[in-house]
Amino acid sequence: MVTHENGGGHGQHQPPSGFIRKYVFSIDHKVIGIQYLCLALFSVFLGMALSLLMRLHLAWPATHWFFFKGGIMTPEQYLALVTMHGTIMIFMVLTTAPQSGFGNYFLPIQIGAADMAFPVLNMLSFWTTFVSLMVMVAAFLVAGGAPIGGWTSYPPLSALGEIAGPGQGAGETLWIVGLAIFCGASLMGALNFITTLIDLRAKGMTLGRLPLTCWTWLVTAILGLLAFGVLLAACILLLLDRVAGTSFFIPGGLVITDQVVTWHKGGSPLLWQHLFWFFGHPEVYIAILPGMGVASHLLSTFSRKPVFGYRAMVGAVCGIGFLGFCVWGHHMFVSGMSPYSAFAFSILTMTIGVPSAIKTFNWLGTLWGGKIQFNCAMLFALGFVSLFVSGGLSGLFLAQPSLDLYLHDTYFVIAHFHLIMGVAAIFGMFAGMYFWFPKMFGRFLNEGIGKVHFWLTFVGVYAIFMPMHFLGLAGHPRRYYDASAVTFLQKLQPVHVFITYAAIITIGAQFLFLFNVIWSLFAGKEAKEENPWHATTLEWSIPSPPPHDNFGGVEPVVYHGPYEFSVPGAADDYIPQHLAPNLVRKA
Amino acid sequence: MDAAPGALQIEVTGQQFVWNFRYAGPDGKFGREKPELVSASTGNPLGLDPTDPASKDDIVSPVIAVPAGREVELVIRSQDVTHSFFVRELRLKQDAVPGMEIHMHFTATEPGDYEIVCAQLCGLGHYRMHSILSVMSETDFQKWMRDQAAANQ
Repeated sequence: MVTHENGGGHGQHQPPSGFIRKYVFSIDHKVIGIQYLCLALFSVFLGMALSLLMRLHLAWPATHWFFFKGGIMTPEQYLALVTMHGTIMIFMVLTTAPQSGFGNYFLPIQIGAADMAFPVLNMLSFWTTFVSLMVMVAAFLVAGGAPIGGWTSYPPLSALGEIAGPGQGAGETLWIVGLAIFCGASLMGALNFITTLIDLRAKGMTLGRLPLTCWTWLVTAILGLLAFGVLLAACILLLLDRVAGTSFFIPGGLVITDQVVTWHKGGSPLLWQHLFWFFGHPEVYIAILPGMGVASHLLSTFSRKPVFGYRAMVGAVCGIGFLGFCVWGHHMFVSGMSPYSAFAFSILTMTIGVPSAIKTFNWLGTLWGGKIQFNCAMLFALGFVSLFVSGGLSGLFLAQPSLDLYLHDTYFVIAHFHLIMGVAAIFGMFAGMYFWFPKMFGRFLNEGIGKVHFWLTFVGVYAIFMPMHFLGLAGHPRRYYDASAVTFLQKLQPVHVFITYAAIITIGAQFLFLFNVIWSLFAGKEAKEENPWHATTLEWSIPSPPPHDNFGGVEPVVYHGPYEFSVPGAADDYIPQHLAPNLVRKA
Repeated sequence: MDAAPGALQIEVTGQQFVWNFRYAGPDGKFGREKPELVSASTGNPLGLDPTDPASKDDIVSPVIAVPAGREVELVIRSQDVTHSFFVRELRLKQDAVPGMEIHMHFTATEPGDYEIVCAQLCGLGHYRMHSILSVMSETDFQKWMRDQAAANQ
């Protein structure tokens, strides 16, 4: 193991003086972490607003709304919302906040480093992400509007330009460019995370003493490094098809609106699907793994018990990460791919159930017999486990080609991935927010508002997504602007209305959270002690908020594992990682 | 597993935003198609080449009829973007991918009309890309074919 004698080695730098250097172009990982969280917060409210518009239209398709030209949403507006809701949520929220937000802030502190390994690269990652968000949002403003091809952007629909539909012109180009820029930012971030974790661990912070949060950030970074490179390549190829006349994804002989496409031949639409899902499946784990880390961390801390089966948990995280690269074909069971490969992808996909079950049982094992504290952070961690199980089980249905044949591209899939990749990951972020807020800002979030927020959100997301399973089982295809053209869908309209009511309440509850954050920043209860939760990891050994170089120039030394709670023979029910063995009070 | 040798072959073509179905007709052969002849407005949505004798008796229909109890082999294709042929009652779903011909076979047993929808986002009219699959008795099916052939002349 490599260690550095002077407080984290090259991570260290002088505190900045001016406002711009301190808050805008900062190279401090803590400021960058907060910048990422702000970007994600903006994006999540934007993405939520887009979903609300879709829900209003789906529930009451004939009602006139003042915010649409002519009162009624058009199909191109609906599909543009579908595309942008998915893209913004997946890339700008689920990829940024758990990893680049919380990871940036707490990974260096939890391993005892003064900063990330490459602070300037870190700043570059954030601002590149910011540019990519701006480029994507600009797609709303160009002629034709935002793209209508969905976040998966399958060619030839996405490759042929305006001829394929409004939004497929300039809007689609901006979308692809924005996504390619995002890939660049994620690659830089991933390199930085991996290097930091391998190189900048404090003395005594062996791999076996890493908090599980750090393990998940590491595995997520490795996934990002391997997956975003492929997506970047795919985006460039798609862009070339659009602007340079190449034919990677466009076969010959196409006729669209009676017009023969003569300038393309020989490409394969399935090539895009392979490249996209080779990225797309690991992306699911990029979103959810950090949430697993936070859940493990909090379940242990607030049960006052060590994580049950720490090594098994690490193995499961690595296993999920590895298997994540072997299963992309389960998104393509009806794509025209060979049915024989579907068999292999199906078996591999169901294999992911094994490490997932290890994680779930170990979470339950951690809780078993513990002195559970039901504060907001813990409630959201428990909510994470619940959503992970409910969202994960439907994955086993979809993993089987014979069932997926029916369920593919229906609302069942929407229900599945929203529960597991969307809201489970977001519950992980909420848990992290309630837990770390006092460390980041020196004040607690309000627990009373937090509990109302938790229960409304927890019941709300189930009320939204559980009925979608039934829509899917009834055969309701996804990405439908209007269900009235199909007889068997007309009877399902009351379900849409119910889901929309649930969505309105759940989205409303998020304003409680927003209010809580803003109010608590200025007037929340002060976190006077360094370690109010009696937690064990290194971030709780330093002041709140932490100073610029985290540990005041002194490199911490680690003597203990990350989850030494209720150790027999010790007076306190927790032993901080940095506490020298001779200072541990005996009972 | 391939379709049985005697299966009824029907070609399914997706295009923004309709389904077209082609039967080979009495000669059992699908005629030649040319992309440049495609013209939905003049009634040649598949671009059948009139100079090919095999195309003369081909039947093109916006709905699909199949005989109950007989195996049907679909050849699924697309003219423009990716679509997906979905009949929920028969548990049939297969993407229609431009540049590919994908075979799928089934034997329907219950006569009746079943809705065909598009399950893969194909553009603005994705939600209204809709047709009907009619399962009918063998005699009704033969009559349907004769009526179609007569209408095609």
